[in-house]
Amino acid sequence: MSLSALLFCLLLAAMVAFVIGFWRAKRLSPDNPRAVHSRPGYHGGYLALWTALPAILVLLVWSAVEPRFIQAEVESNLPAQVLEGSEGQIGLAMGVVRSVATGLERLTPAEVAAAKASPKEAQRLFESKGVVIATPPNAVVIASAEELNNIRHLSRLAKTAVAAFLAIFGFIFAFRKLSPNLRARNRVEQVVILALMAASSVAIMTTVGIVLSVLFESVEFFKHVSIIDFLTGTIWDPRFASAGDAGGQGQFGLLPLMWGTLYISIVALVVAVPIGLLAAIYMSEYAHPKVRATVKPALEMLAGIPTIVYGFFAVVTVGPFLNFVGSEIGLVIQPTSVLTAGIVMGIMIIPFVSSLSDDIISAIPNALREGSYGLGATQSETIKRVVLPAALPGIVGAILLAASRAIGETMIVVLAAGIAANLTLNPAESVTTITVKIVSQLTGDLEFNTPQTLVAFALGFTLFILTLGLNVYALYIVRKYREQYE
Amino acid sequence: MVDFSIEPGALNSSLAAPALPTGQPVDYKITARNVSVFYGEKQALFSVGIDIPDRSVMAFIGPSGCGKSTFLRCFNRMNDTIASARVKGEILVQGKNIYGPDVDPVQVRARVGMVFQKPNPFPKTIFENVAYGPRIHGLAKSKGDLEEIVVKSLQRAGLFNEVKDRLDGEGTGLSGGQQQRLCIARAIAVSPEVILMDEPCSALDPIATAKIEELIDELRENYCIVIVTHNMQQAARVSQRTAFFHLGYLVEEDTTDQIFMNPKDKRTQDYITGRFG
Repeated sequence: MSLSALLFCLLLAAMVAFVIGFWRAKRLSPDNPRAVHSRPGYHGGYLALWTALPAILVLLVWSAVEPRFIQAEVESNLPAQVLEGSEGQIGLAMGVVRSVATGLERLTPAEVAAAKASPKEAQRLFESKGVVIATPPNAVVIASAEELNNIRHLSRLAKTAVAAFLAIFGFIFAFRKLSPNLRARNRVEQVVILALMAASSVAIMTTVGIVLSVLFESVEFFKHVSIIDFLTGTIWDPRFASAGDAGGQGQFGLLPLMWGTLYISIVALVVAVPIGLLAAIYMSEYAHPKVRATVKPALEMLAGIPTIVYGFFAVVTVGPFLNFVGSEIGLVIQPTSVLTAGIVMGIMIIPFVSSLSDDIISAIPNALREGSYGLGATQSETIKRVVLPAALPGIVGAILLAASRAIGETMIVVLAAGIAANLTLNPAESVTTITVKIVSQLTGDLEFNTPQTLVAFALGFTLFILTLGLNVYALYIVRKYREQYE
Repeated sequence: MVDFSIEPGALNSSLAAPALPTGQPVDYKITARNVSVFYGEKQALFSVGIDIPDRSVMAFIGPSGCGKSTFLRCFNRMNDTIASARVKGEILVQGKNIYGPDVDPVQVRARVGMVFQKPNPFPKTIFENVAYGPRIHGLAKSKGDLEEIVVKSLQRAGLFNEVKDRLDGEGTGLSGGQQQRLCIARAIAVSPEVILMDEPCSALDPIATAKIEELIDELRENYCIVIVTHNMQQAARVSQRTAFFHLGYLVEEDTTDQIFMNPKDKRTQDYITGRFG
């Protein structure tokens, strides 16, 4: 049976086992159900787990390691001249063997005999069954393929037998343990907790995996370009080397990109922090609860707009508008500039600042406000001198979270910041950011073996370190502040 | 906000409001007439009237939800901070109606200080906690003045000796009893005429409570103090006069001795003997 069919059968068996366990538990002590330690459902679960779980685990492990063993076995029987070749050649030969094996499965015994007789005929037959092979397979290849098929067949049989044995044995073992004293609930819940742990570790493992893969590619990049040059270089000129253009490696200075990223983020914060904070103060301190209930979700909706739409907005509306205003007052403001990208990004992160700050200000205990009012302070004095200072650490945390969001933002800057890696102080000029350069280095059909593409991973890693640092620091501040009032 | 009409509940009150002595010299620090409070549709206080003398302690007692805290919060217009609350009637502090049309609640609260149930020091230093009121009201001409006010207030609150070495430490770092005395010092620092205390000891242990009670007894020499308490022994210990509230009505008000030894109303008697409440 195939793996999916086996798994399906095991699940079915588990269901049956559950019903049996449930039924059995109800009859353990029919007169006094309380004398049974666990409820019938847990007995059913216990039986079901013992039936299916060991078999499933063994099957999964088996299926994971099986291909490697089979490959090694078949490979060792390949002719000596193939084995002497490079790793690539062996891989190629194995690929052909695998294709032929698949083809053989689809042939009738008569056709198999015909295929063995003539390589040309074999190729034609395979093609007619949907398996395309580049070279006509000779007898050696077909023999290897047959061996492959045989081993696979054997393995599948063994797997089925082992699974059936484990399921039956597990069922009997567990069924004999069913008794009023069996701590079935505790056992089942242990398994459930393990499952919950596995689920929560998926996210963490994925993060770790992504970081590691980016890290390894970055290390690869730093074999081509020194890390010092990367971190301190002021010129970004990766120069996609055309074929045969030796020495055309280009320069990978991070600083112009880093500066562009930070500059745009600073402009964004200059826009978002005052607006967001004032909105938060209004919502939490002055607005009628009904107003707050409408305004807050409306502001949070800003966060739901896809950033590419902000990008349109920047390119179509804000850029030309700034350009027009600039020309009216005698300034040259490029349509794609620090200002354009920064302002639009600022609008994008307003809800992060306002919503989080509003939560934090609302969490300040009312007792503090009353204490201040009780001393004859006005509402604005109370807000300025008591509420905001008390909320400050949390607000700083909220701003840092917004900043890390701005630093990692891509689509707005791709459209609105420009692609020239300028190291400029003039906000009317265009700059570029780390994220923009990652996009431009990886766009197209590329191989990941040149510094030009690998640099994207180094950039990504830099970005990751930057935002991770900000996030950790922000969360630390927010948490520290929360402990103070809970 | 002033309403001279007699509420239906007024007839039930044992203190059916006597006519207000207009133009006569003020005998009492606080005079309340026909005070009713509504939270939305619900009436929490029914036409209560009371006279509170200066330089003494008046205790408000009564079962939970009887309106004593609500009434207390009328004296510094703290109920104004609750959107749904409405206050009717007249309360004179030093002869001036604090619910008059030209009165700003903020000014009232500078004259009538308040200490809350749970100590609520600001998350600032001890010094800044006490200096908060004087600063916003501009009471100190110079830094030296401000320091003097702070030290004097802490001394009066009986806290100075405990914190004199750490005035720049966080106010929230003090123990519960110290925090409450800090809040009293904070209230004293703006030189109020009246100090309201809303169950000031309910969150404190017996030793800290004893200290606060001692302090109340000392402060009585200079201030008019109104204290809400659930603890009848406390009312007996610290107050000269006691008012008993029940279901939003003022049932009985008299000298503390009279209330505890010889209550006139059956409900008062039942409450102080522990039959309900």
